[in-house]
Amino acid sequence: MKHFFKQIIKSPMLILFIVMTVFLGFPALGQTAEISQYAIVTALGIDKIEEGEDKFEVSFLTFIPIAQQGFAEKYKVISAKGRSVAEAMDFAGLELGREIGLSHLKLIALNQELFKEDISMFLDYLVRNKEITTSVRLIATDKSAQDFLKAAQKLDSESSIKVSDLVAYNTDYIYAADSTLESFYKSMLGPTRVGLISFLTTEKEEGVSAMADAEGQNGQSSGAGQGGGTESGAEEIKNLGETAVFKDGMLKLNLSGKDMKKINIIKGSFTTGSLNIRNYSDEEFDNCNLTFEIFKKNLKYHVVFQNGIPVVTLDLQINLKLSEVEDKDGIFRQNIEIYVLSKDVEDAIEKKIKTVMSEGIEIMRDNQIDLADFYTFINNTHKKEFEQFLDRLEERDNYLSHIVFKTNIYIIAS
Amino acid sequence: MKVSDRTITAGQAGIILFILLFANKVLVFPSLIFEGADFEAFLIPILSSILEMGLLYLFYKLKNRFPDQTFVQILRQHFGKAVQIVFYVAFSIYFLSKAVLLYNVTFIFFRNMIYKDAQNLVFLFALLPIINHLAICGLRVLGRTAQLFFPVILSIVVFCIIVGCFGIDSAPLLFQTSAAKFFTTFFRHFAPFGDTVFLFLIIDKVKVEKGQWKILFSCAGGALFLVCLVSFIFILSYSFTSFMHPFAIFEIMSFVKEYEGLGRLDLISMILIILFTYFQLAIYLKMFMFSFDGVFEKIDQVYGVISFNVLFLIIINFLIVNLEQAVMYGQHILPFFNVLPFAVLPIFVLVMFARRKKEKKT
Repeated sequence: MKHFFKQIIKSPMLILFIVMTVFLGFPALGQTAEISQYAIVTALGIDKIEEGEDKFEVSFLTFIPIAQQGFAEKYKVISAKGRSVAEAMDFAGLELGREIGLSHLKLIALNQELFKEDISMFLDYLVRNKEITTSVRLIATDKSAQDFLKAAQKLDSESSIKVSDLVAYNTDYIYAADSTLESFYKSMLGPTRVGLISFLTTEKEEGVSAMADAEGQNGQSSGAGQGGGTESGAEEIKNLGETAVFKDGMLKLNLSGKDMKKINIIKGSFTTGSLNIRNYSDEEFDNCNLTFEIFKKNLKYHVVFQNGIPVVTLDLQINLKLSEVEDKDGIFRQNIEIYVLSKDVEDAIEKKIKTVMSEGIEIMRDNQIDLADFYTFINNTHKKEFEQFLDRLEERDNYLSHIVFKTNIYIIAS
Repeated sequence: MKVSDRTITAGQAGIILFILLFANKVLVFPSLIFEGADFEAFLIPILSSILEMGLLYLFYKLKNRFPDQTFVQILRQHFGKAVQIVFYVAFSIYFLSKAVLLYNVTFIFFRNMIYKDAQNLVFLFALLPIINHLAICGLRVLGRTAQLFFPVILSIVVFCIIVGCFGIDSAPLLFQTSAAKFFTTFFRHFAPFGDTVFLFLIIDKVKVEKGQWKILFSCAGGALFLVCLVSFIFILSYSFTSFMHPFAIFEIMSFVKEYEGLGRLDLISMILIILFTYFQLAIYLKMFMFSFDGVFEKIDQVYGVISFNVLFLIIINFLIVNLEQAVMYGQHILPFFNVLPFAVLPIFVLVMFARRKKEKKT
């Protein structure tokens, strides 16, 4: 024993270890478990209100961890009002008696009423909060964010569908846009100053499995924002690919899923989708509707300046497979696996893609929204000429209207 | 208590150099340079690395001319005791200042990321005893410990970089910065560089056999290349949103959060930051001890340790408030301190070489 104490005295690090254990280790044992300190927020909604000094109503879909033998998730929607998002969150913490933990936040829902003002003011707290991962999904709702979360609560509790999953594959499909906090800010702070947010709509329906009662567990809706008020009956949350487009933080327009398809073909930002040709006729088909599945695509931009005007060529190489034929004469009997696209079909597809692309460009031109970020591409390849071109314009933001676009389509049958 | 500092091999010196050159540049540095110089910011670490390698070359020349002399002896022999003391006082301040900045940035990083309620005292409890122990045990122990951890450190660095490459998803906007903006940013963020100067203080303790210089140059070159790579990946990954992502090596790993199945792999980069912080602070303390010894030759180096701890605690007490203040200190005060390794020291060494050449001729 004497030898042991001698050894301890000789080893300062051991003494330090003992001191640390006594002063830091034992008090830690007496502290409340972290699981009891935090309310874990999985989705957050923001509504705009005007109630005295309060400007925001922040709602949370919280998961309150309860230690028990079985696996059960208890979700609750709580709301709080404040002069800022940060203040509303503090009040929500008070109401719950727990600290608001945002590390597991997966979704931020914004009531479309917020879009009348600069949206960045509602998001500032969230982008600066280090707990929140920037891959959190950002969505817009057509009703109050609080009611949306109540519908989401039912969805999360009663089915295995998480509301954040509804927009998880937006980057893959041609009909929708990626809308995470990161992607929104990245494009909004970029040279085009355009940001995209996916729109999730809530529809009243009956008899659908993935449905939710508008009345949450807590009963009354606050009625904040558009579409507020108590609504009863089942509601379904739908992702139709609708996308809200913002410029300089302000809502510019809402694009439908079909419009997004036109834009995404120009951007080349999708991995799956289909292309329809209606009422097609040739030697093989008679007034058929043909649907082609897109397998791969390779899109490249080229730019040259002609008389000081940029001419952008979009070279799209696209792999397609005939996946559906609606033939009025019955079943199309040819084996699709060995079906070879005829020249006429290729021409029809090319014409269709060119039409889709030109419609997409028109949408961008009409609204002065450079969703494909042509600005960066032209600037990086022809900086000087592009600057001169912009200087000559009456309105620099309207550069898309003065750019000449050409498209080359190369179709490969898979 | 006498601190015994035995010699270290070229390999150990190379590893210490690697840790020093890489460690303090991969947290806030890439984000700050992008803020100042846009996409062209990736050239700043390249330019700074060239200067750092120049300093290493200067050390190579000096070591070849004076293989067994201490830096104190070299300075005293050529410029007298007064100049030597001034130099060593400057070195003490230099290493102490760098340690303070490093501690501040790391503390703020951990407080923001995981230990929200942690007090400064708890951090000091975890850091100070170990760095003191490492420094007091001697240079060789420090070198060997670094050697032991080096494979882990290198593996994590490479892993972070590979994962970071998957997060690159934006086309940067080129040619947006002006020369004035670029060079102002370059100067403001020059503070993390200049660590090679520690080799001058241990010039007699680094045993470099014939043909071993390539180890030192490879370690330094490798570390600086990785710094440039991390900065480049970070800028390409986040570009316009870099203000939301101040901690580069951690942020480039966060791409995996997109795919929730993989979990929080970014925690791996935290292990790296913890290891780097321990080693780097220990090396700074060790260098402070050498500088202290150069000024007060008659007293034990342990007084150097005590002085470092006292001064360190006083200064961080003023700077610990927030990241902004720490960054301000790093941007507006510390860059001027780099005059020592990149201007004053080279001038004196070159004068020394010129004098020696003249003496030989006569």
